[in-house]
Amino acid sequence: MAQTSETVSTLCHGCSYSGYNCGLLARVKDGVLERVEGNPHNPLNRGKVCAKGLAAPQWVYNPQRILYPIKRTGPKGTEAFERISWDEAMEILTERISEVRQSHGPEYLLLQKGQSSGWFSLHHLLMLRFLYALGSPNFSSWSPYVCYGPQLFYHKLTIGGPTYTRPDYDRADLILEWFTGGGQGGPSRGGVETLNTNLRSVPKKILDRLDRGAKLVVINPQLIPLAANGRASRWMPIRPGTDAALALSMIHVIIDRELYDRDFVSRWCEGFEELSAHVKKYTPAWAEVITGVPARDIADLAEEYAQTPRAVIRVSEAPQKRDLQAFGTAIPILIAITGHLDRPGANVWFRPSGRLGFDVLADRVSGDVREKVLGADRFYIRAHHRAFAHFQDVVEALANGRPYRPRAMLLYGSNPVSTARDPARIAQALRELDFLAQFDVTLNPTSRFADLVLPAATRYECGDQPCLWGNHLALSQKVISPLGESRDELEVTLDLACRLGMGADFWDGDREVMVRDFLSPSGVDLEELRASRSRGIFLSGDLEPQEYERYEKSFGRLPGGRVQLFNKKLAAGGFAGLPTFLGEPEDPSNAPGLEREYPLHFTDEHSDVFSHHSWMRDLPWLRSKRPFPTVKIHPLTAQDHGLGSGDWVEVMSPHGMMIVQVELFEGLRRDVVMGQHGWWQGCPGLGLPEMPSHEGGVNPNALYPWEPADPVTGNISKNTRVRLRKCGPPKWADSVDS
Amino acid sequence: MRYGLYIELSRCIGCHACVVGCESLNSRAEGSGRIRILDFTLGSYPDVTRWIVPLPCMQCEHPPCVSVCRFSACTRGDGGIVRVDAHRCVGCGLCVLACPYGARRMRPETGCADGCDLCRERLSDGRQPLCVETCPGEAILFGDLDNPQSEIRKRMEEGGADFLGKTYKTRPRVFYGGLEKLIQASPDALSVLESEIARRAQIKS
Repeated sequence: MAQTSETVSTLCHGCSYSGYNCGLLARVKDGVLERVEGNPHNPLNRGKVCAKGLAAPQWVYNPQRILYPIKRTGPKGTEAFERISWDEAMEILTERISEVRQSHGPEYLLLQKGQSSGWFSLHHLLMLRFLYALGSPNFSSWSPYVCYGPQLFYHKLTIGGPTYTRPDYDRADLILEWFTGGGQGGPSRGGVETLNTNLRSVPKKILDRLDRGAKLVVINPQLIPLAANGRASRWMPIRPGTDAALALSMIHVIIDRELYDRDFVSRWCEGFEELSAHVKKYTPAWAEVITGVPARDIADLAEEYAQTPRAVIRVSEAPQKRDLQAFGTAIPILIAITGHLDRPGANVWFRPSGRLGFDVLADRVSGDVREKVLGADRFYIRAHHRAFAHFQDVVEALANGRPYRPRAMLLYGSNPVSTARDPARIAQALRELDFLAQFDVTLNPTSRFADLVLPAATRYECGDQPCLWGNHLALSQKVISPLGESRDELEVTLDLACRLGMGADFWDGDREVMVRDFLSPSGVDLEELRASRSRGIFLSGDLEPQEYERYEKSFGRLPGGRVQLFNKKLAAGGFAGLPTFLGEPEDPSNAPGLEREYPLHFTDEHSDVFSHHSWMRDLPWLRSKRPFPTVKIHPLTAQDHGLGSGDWVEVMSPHGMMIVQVELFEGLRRDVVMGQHGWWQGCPGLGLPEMPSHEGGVNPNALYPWEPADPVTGNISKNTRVRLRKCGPPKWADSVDS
Repeated sequence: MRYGLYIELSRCIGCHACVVGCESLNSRAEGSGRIRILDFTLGSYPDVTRWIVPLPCMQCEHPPCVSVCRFSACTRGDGGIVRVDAHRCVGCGLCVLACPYGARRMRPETGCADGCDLCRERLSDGRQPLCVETCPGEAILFGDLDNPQSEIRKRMEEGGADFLGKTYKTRPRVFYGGLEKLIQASPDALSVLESEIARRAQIKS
């Protein structure tokens, strides 16, 4: 048989960030995806691909993939399933969704969208439209609740603008990389990227500038790879969770020493007097006690930032703080008052040249039902016109039945038992559902509570998906046929919509017609885009914005058309109008005496180069580089506890406990224990078993406090205090093939 | 024509794209070792630095792997590329032991030695080694060391060209920019680096 080889141009699913991904060339031989390489024509990644992207063949041909629909046959909490046909699966879905709407009401149906089954604009819009067409307001997803959404909210509330401000790396002379978690940041959404991926060629941009003499400051409890190899002129090892104190103190120094941009402040800001008075108490000496960073260094950094015209700040997308209001407003304030807003080499707004999309039919949710969205009374949800459900409120509603107990949930590519806090509470809440349908690539801990699990095709097996970044249109294309009976989640949703009698609103189930509709606002048609192959199409305008100081337009929706140094909207809502330091719930100031029993600070790396949230750890090419869940501990701290490299250790907080291995790391504050988010997966290819998520498992989400939350957004803390105890290997370790 | 690599340490962020890329193209096995990443610290907190150093096959001019091979399976060919001929290899494992950089391993599925050949097949298509092409930081440069106009020669002249493992005397053709910075980072820098290389050389799989 002759060997047929072809190369298919498509987009990556290695990290699955919204809207657009790195361009790939998929090498296919006899219908088998052999490997991928970067597409040199794609302006975002210019031919480069990161480790996660390169692992595509193992993602696609993962032996753990579910390849046919399964239905629950045993009690929840187990993986007792039997195979069923798609026909039966769709009948069950249709019946259960209809029943919930009729017997209870549309709001009793929840839809949650994660990333492992696809996460692009098209997916997001279709899921919203589907749910809204059913009349339910209860769409939940990480981005709005814990990740990027809350931070973007504060950013815009302070400095307006169409998007988050993005560092204009290409022209920066000073780069502040400020990661409030422990790792290299989290997922991005059209704004700030992470070095755990190659999205938007951020690594190259930063490195090019450093080669030209730009300076890099890294603010992180640990010495992350970005700061290695002599790159960072300054590493600020901040105590985790205390970032608001650092930011406020920097504002104090800048105002106190009159280093702010007077013209900008007088012309474009309001509330300067109130802010000045307010930050007087946030001295570097005050901040030193809280952050562990010497006062001198704080003052030096503030001066350096204020006095370098071309300076950028990037903070991690998902700060996950109870004290998010202080941090989330302090950062845009810092950017604004120092004259670093929408100027070359500073933090700039990003305006794409075009648009893709279709109406999500939000008006199908009646006014009174919209009021019933879970979390409705939270300021953040109200400010978004109740556009989505707040996940913590979803959990509380399921657990307590208040304001009502949802009945059914559709989970697309999401694994809340592993990724949300806290695992036991989530698992218990999910048990309360009458019906849970999960759509994913492999089973995961959440599957134990699912009534139905449907096999998702990976992006490489799905049809055309147009994506737009800046002014570049690219097409994700099908590389191989779906494995087994796996299906594109878009097709399944269209099919389901038709079965539910909504075909007229869903293109009569025709995926291609939907795609054309989605693409049409760009002015480019699908044939043109297909014909452009690996080059894609550049719309008019520049990929990167060349206009600056777009203040009038960007501040247009702010009270008085000015930057809110004192935030009128928040004040009107009954909240502090000025960024006020609260700290995290288990900081010494909030929990005095806790250090006696729990002397060390704990947080986790939200992501890394070998995994994404709670998936991809079952791929041998990736897992082999970091095979076991660990905590990083400073060697002297470890020694104090009688711990050596590779020892098993119990990490116990006031809320929960996990058992992982010790990794010694000199580049870490001595008072910090650094975990890793998202562990549960085994990797049968390497003889590594699945690991438990709950108490005594490997998931740091069991350790954090559930409350209090940020009163505005409901954001909760990713910080706690722990103690360590050497222990023996956990039971699951017995199943490790040595 | 003498092919070589130049690695600019200031541009390596330890993302392992080179490692996984090589695995996906060449050995297809995880942890296969054609290119590895050293990652270690110098000094102690808070005066600590971290160093991430890619360690590929050095494509030596006096390669021990070639010297020990009794079966002419390991040779230096066009452009001076060191490679394994799997048809001739009998799997004695001597080359794996002989390489002081730990660049060789045995492939369990074939019983033969596996080693870097600078993606020879790609070169004949006018491409470059995959590690070079996929590196998001553009930290690795490939080229002809005999060509004074080549990018690699220019970079070596500008940035300095040092190599690892001087005590081994194998004349590597992989050069590094930024080693000077590493060596000066701490009094024990050189010995830590050398023991990291030796430690990786012990890991044969």
